[in-house]
Amino acid sequence: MDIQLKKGILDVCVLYALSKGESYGYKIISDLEGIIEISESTLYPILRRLEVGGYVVTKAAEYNGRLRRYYKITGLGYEKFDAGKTDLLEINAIYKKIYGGRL
Amino acid sequence: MTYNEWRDELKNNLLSVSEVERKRVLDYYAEAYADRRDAGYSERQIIEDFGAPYDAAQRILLNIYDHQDGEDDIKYEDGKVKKEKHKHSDYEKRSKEPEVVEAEVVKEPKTEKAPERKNYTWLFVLLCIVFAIPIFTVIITLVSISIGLTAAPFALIVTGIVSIVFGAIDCFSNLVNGLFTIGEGILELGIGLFLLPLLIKIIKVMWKLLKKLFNWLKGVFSGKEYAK
Repeated sequence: MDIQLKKGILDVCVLYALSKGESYGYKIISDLEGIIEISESTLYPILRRLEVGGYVVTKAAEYNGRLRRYYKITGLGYEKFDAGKTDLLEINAIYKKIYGGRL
Repeated sequence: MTYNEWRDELKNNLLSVSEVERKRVLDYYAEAYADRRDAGYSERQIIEDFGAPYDAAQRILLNIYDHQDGEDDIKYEDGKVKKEKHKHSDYEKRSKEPEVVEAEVVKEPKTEKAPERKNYTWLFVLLCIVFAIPIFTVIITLVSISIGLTAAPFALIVTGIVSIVFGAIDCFSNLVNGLFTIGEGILELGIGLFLLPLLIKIIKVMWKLLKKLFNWLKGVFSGKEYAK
C-alpha cells in the first residue's frame, strides 16, 4: 500500500483495535493482523501521538512479574474513530468512481 | 545481533531525546520483546520484525506520522465536529508521565505459539544471480559503445592531421599524390571535427543511463519497506 495512504489509515486502525477494549502493544498488532500489517516500530509513534492528542490514556500494570503498559481509548478517541469511518467511506466512494467498483 | 545489542544501538540513536522519553521507548521495546518471546518468537525473528535500530529511532525522532501543518485535529464544540489548523506538535514537550496505578496481577490466557515463518533468502540470492548476467551485459555494452564512439572522431582528427602532414611532404616527390593525400586528410579532419560535439552528447546520454541503472540497482539491493 502507498505509504501516504497508509499513514492516514493507521490511526483509525489502532483506535479500532482499542475500541474493543483496553489493550497493549503486541496485542494491538495481533488484533490488526488480517486487517493491516503493522510493526512495533510503526506502532510506537502512533500510540504516543494518540496519547498526546488525548485520544488514548495509558496505565502500567504488573503482568508475570514485569510491568506492561495498557492503552485505553477515550471519548475523544471514539470521536476520531467515527470521523475515520467517514473518511474511509469517502475513499470508498472515490474508489468506486475511479475503478467502477472493479478490483 | 542479539536483542541487547539491538536495544543498545537503539539507545545510542536516541541520545538527542530526553532521558524520560528514551526510557519510555526502551521500556516499550522491552515489553514488546517479552510479549513476542512469550508468544513463541525467536530472538532473531523479533529483531527482524523490529527492523534496524537506526530506522526505529528515526521514526521516533521524526515522529513521521505526526501532524504536519494542516487540518487533522478534531475538536468538539457546541455539539459540532470541527477541524482546526494547528502547528506541528512537539509531542515530547507536551507528553505527560503516564498514570501509574496500583500494580495488579492481570491473568492472561496463554497464547498459542506463533506459526513458523518461511525464509525466502535463497530465492532472493537466486534471482540476483539470474538477473546479474543480463544486467552486466547491458553495462558492458554501454561502456564499450561509449569508448568506441569516443575514439572514432579523435581517430579521424588524428588521421586527418597525419594525412595532411604526410601529403605536404609527399608533394615534393609526387605533387598529385601529395595533393590527394592532403585532400583526404582535410576530409577526415572535417568529419572528425563535425562528429565530435554530436558524439560527446551521445556519450553523456549513455553515462546518464548507466548512472540511472546503478542507482536503480542500489535501490533494489539496499532499499527496505518503510512501514510495515
